[in-house]
Amino acid sequence: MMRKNVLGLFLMVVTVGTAQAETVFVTLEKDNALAVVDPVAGKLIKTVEIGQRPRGIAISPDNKFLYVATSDDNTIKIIDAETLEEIGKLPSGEDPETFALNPAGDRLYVSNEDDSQVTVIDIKRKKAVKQIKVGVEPEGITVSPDNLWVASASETTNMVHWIDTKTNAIVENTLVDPRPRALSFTADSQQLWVT
Amino acid sequence: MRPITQPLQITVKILFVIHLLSVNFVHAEAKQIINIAYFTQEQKVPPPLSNLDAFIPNKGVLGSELAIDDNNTTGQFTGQKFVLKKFIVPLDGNVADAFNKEVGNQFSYVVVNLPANSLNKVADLSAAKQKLLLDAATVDDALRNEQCRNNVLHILPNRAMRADALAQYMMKKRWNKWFLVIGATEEDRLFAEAIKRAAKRFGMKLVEEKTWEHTYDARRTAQSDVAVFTQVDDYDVLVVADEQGQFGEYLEYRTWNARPVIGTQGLVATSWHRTHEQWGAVQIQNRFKEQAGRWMEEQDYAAYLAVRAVGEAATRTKSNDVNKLKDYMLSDAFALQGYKGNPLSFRSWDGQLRQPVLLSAPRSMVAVAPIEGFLHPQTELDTLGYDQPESTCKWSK
Repeated sequence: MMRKNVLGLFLMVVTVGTAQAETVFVTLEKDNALAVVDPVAGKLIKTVEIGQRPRGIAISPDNKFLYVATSDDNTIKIIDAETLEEIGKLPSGEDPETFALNPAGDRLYVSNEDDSQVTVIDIKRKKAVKQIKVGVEPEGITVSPDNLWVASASETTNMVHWIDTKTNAIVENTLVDPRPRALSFTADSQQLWVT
Repeated sequence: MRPITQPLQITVKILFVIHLLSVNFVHAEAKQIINIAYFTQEQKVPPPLSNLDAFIPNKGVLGSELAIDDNNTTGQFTGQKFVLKKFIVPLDGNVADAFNKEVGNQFSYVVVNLPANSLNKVADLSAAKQKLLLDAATVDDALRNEQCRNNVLHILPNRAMRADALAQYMMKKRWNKWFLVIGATEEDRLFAEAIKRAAKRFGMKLVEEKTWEHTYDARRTAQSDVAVFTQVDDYDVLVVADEQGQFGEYLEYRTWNARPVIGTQGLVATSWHRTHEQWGAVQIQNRFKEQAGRWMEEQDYAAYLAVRAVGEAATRTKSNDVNKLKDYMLSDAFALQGYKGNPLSFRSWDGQLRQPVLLSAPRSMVAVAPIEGFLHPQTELDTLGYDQPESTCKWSK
């Protein structure tokens, strides 16, 4: 069983830190489950069933809600970070994989890899407000800390697409080396680093 | 991200500071057109060897269609438009005449899906001289060596690359003693030649070599002939050369001694396989299946890469000029995403696409060559096939 967990591990992890304790949540893509881990003790606390093929995961700025993309259910689930109960669903579009939460915690930007688009979700209204055409196989996605830009990397088009968060439209595209995957802004939002 | 079966594939290569490289594509208004032809001939339906696999008449073309869509998705950001036109010569048609008449002057890039004996008939036409042909079908070593042409790039791994991939795996498993079984066709002989070359390169021993002369009738062959046929001196692995699949499938589980079967059946070396899902391959397998309604075959993958290679070169050079694109494709700067980990590129000495070779059982991916530990001063990918000093291709020298 242990071996299965390790194999199924989808390397997507979020950490919740409080004064007392930290908890790590890991989506297990091939086990259809979420693992809850105590990182200090290095112990698996428990695993819970979460839905088909869970992949991307994020936590709200107030640490109350987990967002988990269950790719084969074509949705992003909202999970109570305390009880681990499902409390809602977001319309993510087909096969959601990675997504990014904006700093305010009210917008989710989802990569729909098979459809070459990014879906913008208004979390409060649980509504998809825009679908933006991007390059082939978008994967890595991130929001700048100053909330001005969403950067989306498409793996086969080999581009970073710059999406203006006010208009939800692409303003510029930057060619990078083959198969860009993850991207991250520096804390001052002045540089974007792409792998 | 995808499930990672090796301890975190470090795909992190170069970190970019975007602002240093910023290229503005948003205001590209005037569309630059890149015309690509897909040229093939109808195939004779081969005799049905098994009812399991239906004959697929359109191998290749569906891959080119997926690629043109991918090119155009990129093109919408770069102001380029890629057009694919397909030409299918009838079974009894003449490929040279059809090429002269149909492909004409409009197309600088031609994806060619023709058998080995037709490729150079097209490549040597004066109408083809100023074009770039992308061979998406042949695996012949000779077409990369003494019969190479400077207007042709080869997408599929040739027989030598496949044999070397198998040899590396056998060496790793220490299956040092090989029993080579060769079919009756010319292609089987060529595959066997590649296996012998690989044995020599990697210091393996051919303890026995036999030509299959029995029937291709499953009832007789499978039960009695194989057991008798395989009573030879001790060996570690049976290597079969049967490209058409006339008898190779009968060997497994029926050899006199219990030995694995590898080569054209059993564990096979291929550029693409439905069991392949690493490095984003799941994504393209799904996209292809959705569009085509069937699994992606090797020729589909080759045609996909051919059209994508033109797209990648056009995007990077911002040009549709055939000489510019060809120079770029043969340069060190060219890097094509091929869903196999390492980026793919062309060998400057023979126009062969450098790539990992998959070693696959019917329902499980066994290994990907180059196998870890086989080293090369430039790139490990060049441990497969004809390296620069070994090449007898003259056009680049």
